[in-house]
Amino acid sequence: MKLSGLINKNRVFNASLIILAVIVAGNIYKGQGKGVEALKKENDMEIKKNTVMNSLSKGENDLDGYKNIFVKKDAGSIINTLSNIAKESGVKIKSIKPAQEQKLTYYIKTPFNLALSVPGYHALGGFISKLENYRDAYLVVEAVDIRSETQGEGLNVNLMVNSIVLTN
Amino acid sequence: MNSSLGIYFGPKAISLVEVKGRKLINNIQISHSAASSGELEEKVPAEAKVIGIIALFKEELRRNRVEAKEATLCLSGKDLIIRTFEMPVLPREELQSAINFEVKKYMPFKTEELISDFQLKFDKISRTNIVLFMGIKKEALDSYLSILSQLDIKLNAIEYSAFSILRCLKLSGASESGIIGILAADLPGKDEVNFTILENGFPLFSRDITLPASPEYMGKDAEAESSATLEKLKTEIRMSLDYYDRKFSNKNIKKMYLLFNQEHHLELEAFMAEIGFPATFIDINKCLDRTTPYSLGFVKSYSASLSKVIKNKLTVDLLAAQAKIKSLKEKSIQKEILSLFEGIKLDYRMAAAALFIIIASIGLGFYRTQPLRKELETILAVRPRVSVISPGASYGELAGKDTEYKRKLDALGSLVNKQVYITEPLDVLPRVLPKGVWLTSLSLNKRSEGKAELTLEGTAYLSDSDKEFAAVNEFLLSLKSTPAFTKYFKDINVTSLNSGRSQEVMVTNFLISCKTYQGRE
Repeated sequence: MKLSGLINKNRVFNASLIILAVIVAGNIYKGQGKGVEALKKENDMEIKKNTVMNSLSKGENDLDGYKNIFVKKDAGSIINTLSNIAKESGVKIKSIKPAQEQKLTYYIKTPFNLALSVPGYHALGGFISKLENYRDAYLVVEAVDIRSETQGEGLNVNLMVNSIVLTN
Repeated sequence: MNSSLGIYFGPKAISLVEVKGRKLINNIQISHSAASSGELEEKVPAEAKVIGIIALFKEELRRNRVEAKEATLCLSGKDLIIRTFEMPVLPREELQSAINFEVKKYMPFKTEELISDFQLKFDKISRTNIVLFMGIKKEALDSYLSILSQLDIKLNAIEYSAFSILRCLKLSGASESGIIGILAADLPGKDEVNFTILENGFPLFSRDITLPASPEYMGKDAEAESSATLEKLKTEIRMSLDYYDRKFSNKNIKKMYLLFNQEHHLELEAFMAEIGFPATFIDINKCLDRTTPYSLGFVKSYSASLSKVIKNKLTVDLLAAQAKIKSLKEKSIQKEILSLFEGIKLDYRMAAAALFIIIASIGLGFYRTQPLRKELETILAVRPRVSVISPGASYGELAGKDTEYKRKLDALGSLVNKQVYITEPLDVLPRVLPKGVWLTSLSLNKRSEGKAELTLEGTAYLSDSDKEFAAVNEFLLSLKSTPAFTKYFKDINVTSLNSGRSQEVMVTNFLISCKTYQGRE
């Protein structure tokens, strides 16, 4: 007797259909499991990227802030500014000498050597205060040398002022 | 024209002949002793023997520069089952099973183990079919096919050596018509002797005779041994003819052809005449363009090599039979598989359930991934935009850019925040100067970022040096206790304090050093 005659073929066929469907479904589920894992990894990576992007965004804002502080001006403009501040403070500039600019990694320093004749200590204080609080350029007093004038109440002052701007 | 090979696997030697058309190119004899390991041969597994034969074949083919890529295999009677018997005329569809039934009588094993083919000849006198049956054990056939396949040689046909020899008749111009006998022997070569009787080229009777050596003469008297062997052969021929006469009493042999060693042919011719058969000796050398020492192995392999050039009337084909069996097997398997599906009715509920299972698995996957996709969308939606880098940049690129930004911001931050702004200290100084103390010079030097030194030089005059010293000390303490000053200068010390004369009065001169950092540099 043939094998086919011994078995209820319909039952076997239909049961095979279900088994086949379960196998196919199992494979689909497995494949999807891999997809889910990949998606989870992608999400984790995107979260990490977001963290870095937030940090970058904050950094960019901070850098914009610094760009407002370190406003780029040419040497002539800085000399003008210094002259104006001196005039406002009642300080006489005897000489201004711009020195060689120094390029550093993130910024450029341009030193200006000033020789001043100041009527008094308060006038000098006013001059330096205005200099350090000047908004249109970042000016820093690098060195000061104050000596009493040999005659009279005045002071002889030598100043080194740095103008600082950002590199590109 | 391409060359082809005739290969005869004889009991004593393997004979290879390469021909191009009818022209003999190579004649190679490989002794079985060269392919086996002498006394130990029986202990060597069959696979090892086959490997040994293949290696030997390859070496001989290479050495003799054999170029043929196809061959006809010629086998001795020990490898084949050859039977001729009569059968009543039957319809074609009944014939195969009737032949199988008949053949079982002659075989000590099952017909299923055999690859076989047959050829019919209708006998007008007896009004029966004469059946020529040829078979080979599957195991033996597979072994030969394996050898040739590993030698990369295509097999044209497998023949019984006694039937291959029939081509020599054609080659010599001998007539095949009527009832003739052909006796092929090589007594010194000790090859299998073939005795065949044909009717118009169709074999009625065939017998392969192995003549045992006469131990009493072995190694002593070659002539006597040869003579004894010849006598044995004569006896065998007589027995064979008796058998033939009993079976085919009305089919008288007209002529006998002899393929024999030159030195015995006269004696054998005389013997044939004595028993009443006119005999003709066939000199194989006359059929060749060169003289070759007589060897029945050579005759058989040479005849086999001519299978494509000289056709004989026999159509039994073991190769085709094997292919047919394979194809029948495949068909029966296919039929069995198809029969499994015959009459099957698809249960639509089951089909729907199967479909549901698959759709459900797809839906489940969608259900599992959907929240993750939404989460991803949200993550991407809240991502801030940065002008300096594209949003599609890799994590590594982003992290690199971030590190660069941080370094730049740190540098700028420390430039701004660690800066010593002199305004505040200058503002503090006049307010903390005690009465009788004044500054003569002030100098500030920034050595590097965040490092500055302020030097205050002054004079105290209070008409009393102790009071002047105390005033200088008070000035120092005031500086140290003023936050607006100590915010920048952490290390405030008197560098020098001494009495001196100024404009005719005694004063105390001092030098105070204020550093933004601790200790010496």
